[in-house]
Amino acid sequence: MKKTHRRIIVHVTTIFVIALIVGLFGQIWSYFKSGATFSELKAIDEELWKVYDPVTTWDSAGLAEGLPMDHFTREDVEQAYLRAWHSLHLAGRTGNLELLEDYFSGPCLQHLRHLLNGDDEFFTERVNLKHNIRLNLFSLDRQVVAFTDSAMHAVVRITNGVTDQLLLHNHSEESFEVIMTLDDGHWKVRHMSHLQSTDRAMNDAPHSISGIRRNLKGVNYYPSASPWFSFWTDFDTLAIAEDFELIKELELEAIRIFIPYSTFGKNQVDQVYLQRLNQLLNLAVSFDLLVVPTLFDFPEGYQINHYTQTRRHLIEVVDRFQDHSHILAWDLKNEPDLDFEVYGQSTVLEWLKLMIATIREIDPSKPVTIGWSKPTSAHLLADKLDIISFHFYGQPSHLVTQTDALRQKVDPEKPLWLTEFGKSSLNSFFFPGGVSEAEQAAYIQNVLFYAQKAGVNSNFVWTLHDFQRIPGGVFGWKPWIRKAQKQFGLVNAAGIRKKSAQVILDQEQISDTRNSWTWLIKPFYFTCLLVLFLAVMLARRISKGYF
Amino acid sequence: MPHTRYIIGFTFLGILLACRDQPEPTRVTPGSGRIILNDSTIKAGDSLSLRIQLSDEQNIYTLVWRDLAASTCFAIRGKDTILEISPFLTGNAGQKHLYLTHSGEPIDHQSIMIQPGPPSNYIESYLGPKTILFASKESSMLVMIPTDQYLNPVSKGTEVTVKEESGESDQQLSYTTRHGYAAHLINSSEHAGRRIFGGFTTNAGTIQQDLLVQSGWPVSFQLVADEYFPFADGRSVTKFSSEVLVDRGDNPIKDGTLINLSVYEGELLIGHFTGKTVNGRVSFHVLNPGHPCLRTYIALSTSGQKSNPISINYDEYQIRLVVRYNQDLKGIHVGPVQGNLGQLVPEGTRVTLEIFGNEILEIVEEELIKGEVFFSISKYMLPSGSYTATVSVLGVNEMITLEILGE
Repeated sequence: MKKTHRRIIVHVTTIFVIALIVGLFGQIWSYFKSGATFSELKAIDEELWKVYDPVTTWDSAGLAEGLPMDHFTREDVEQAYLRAWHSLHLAGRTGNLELLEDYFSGPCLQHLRHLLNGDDEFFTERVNLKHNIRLNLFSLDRQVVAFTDSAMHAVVRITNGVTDQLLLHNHSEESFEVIMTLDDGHWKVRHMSHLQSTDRAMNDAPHSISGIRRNLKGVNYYPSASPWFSFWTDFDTLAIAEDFELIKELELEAIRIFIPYSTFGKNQVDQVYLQRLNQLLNLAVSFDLLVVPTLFDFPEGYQINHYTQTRRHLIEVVDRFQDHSHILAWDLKNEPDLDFEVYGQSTVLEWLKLMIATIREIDPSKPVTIGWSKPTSAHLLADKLDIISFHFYGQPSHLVTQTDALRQKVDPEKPLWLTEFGKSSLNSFFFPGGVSEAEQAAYIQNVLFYAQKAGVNSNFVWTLHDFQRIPGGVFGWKPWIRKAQKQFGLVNAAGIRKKSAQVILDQEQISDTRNSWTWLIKPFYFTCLLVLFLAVMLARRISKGYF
Repeated sequence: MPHTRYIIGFTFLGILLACRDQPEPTRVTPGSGRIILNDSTIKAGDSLSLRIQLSDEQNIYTLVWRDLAASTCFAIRGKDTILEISPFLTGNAGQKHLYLTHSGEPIDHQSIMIQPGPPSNYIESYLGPKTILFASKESSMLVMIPTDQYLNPVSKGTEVTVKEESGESDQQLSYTTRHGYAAHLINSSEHAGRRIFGGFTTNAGTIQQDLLVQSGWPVSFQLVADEYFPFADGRSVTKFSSEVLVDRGDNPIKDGTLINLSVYEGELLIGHFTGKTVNGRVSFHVLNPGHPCLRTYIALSTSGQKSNPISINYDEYQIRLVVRYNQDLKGIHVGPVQGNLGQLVPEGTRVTLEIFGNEILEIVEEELIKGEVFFSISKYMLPSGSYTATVSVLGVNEMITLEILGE
């Protein structure tokens, strides 16, 4: 009987285990076999089209034949037309022609297939930055629409797909006559005649430099509790007002702030953040502080396919604040030269050129600069900028030679700004290279001294505060980097001024200084001595045969 | 190993020779070059001959043919090169750009305009709306897009002629293309019917396009009571029909147009019927009232046009009824039952027989066959005596007395 029971238990258990395994396998199988969910597909679809966001205007001058076009149809036609172009750009970039069928039909589709099926060796990227549409016809049955897209600003980049060599990067102004028909409820481009195109010179010439403020003392600013992205997400006007008061006490005249590209909503700029920026600028007015907003902090890329998105972002932000009296200058991008390695120098520089031209279109009254990460990069695009600005974290005495070398390459009349310099006062028991607050102050004093000697007009120290926390996405996981980044401030996390704050306050009578004697006493040395002591003790015990 | 040092020495020598830089051909720093075009404008599909002159023979330059979102590149080497561009590239009309480049820097740039060829074969055409209303403000449009043999829309100013046939008068109008198309506006005409359009140029034509001009709304119309029985007989039908309904241009209105018929008794609207026109006419079949009255019928189009009113006085429906008791057959014979005109009432009319003594004894109902019916009463086993029987047909009652005798 017992045996029978045991057999039953074994059989039941076996069946249960087999059922479990089959069920589990089935789940895994169905998971890998299942396609994307509707919401996933919708997200992919939205993401696909969101990246193409050119400036599109409808010219109402002149009467079109047929019906007047209502607002909804116009939106439909515009969306289909822009998507047609975007699918063409994607087809040029990827070689995948399937997407074209959704937005082109008839002869135009044939032409495009014919064109794009050609040479695979060369890689053509194209993007249109601006469309200016004038309606010519909207047929009485609402099935045919004809319009002229004139003065379209197009950018074409051709590279050798094999060698990756750039063959052409060209801006042009083009005009097209387009006929679209309504096929199965979808507007499709049926004919597109390329009327003319001329090379387009970008309006990126710098301003007269006489009106630009020189000899400014400033600071890079984030609140102590909310640096980087959290500055805008955890926006605290009270804390900012207190900080501005402190900045005024330090006799500083300007702040440099950062506008994170993704946090502000990329091309669909979030009005909430624009409102917060407006609040900050109004506070700056009440404290009489000048502001240098640094745009495009942490962009997603510089390639041609990001052009319309980034350009739209720039237009939305700059257009809103172009008349603001306390914006001193626009810093277009923080340390773009650090991205050369990833994206390629020409790609980054072409993007910067376009953004300079765009900012000049929107706000011609304000100076434009780029915050290069080192003086040796600051000659790049110098002919297109109003202010040459760079950062410096090196040996103070090298500043003079590097600035002199820079002066050789750029217009000597242009103002030179040092928009970031400083030293972390991290003096840890565990990490080597610790710096005392006195050493930090000495470093800042020396940089200011040599900057003055080198003829640098304005300086912005990094940064006002030590930070309570650092976002992981910015500086990675390494504690010796994260901790160091926390302690670059003139004021520590408890709100007490460090020695460097006094140096900044006294910078009118600056002189060079030797390093403080405190370099001799570092917590890390004690750790080393302790480890050494313990090691010796251990060795002695071993030698005496305790182990 | 006495030869070891020689082996080592030769090995080093070999390595040194292998690692030595190979002498490279003398390279000339890329200089200038130019693209020479014989003509800055050609026709679509024409072959194109380019001459490229370079300042040196050593370097490889690239000629980029840029077209919309695609480019074709040619590697060029040599001081003077002739490059033939095939119709494969020149078939697509529009402005094309040619860049002579080296290391990403354009050295020379030329553009060439490829003009579309003459119209060829088939002209794309779109007519819409396909139907418009007669003598109205509605209009239609014929959009024509002539293309060349490579399907490029033809140049501005190409003449396109539109011909129309409408059975009564033919028209011909000419247009010139602008923005790639020519559009012909078609206004509503005085006559309904089919209108045929076609557009053509010297070498090409559209497919035939048909436009249907629909008749307008009917004007006032006459309604006639074709058949009617002017008695309050709820089984009878009054049949109305209209003349052919026409619009104000005398075009028969289209089939399926809705016409309403309103029925009044005195001032009171008691019924509403909807009919559709077939071959321009509408007809209605309305049951007679079950009681005597004066009815007025008016038809009404959905555009508000009324017909003439028709009034019919429905009199009481009189019937003659013969009822006999047949002592021999022990039954009641009803019939013939005749109407006002002497006609037999319709087959199947129900006849009710009620037999009374001191109380109702039997109620029986039968149907008339050829105006007659026979009720056998022997089966009811009535005791001898005197009874009253009432026969009712179509609301008319006839009473007789029955004397039932014993066997």
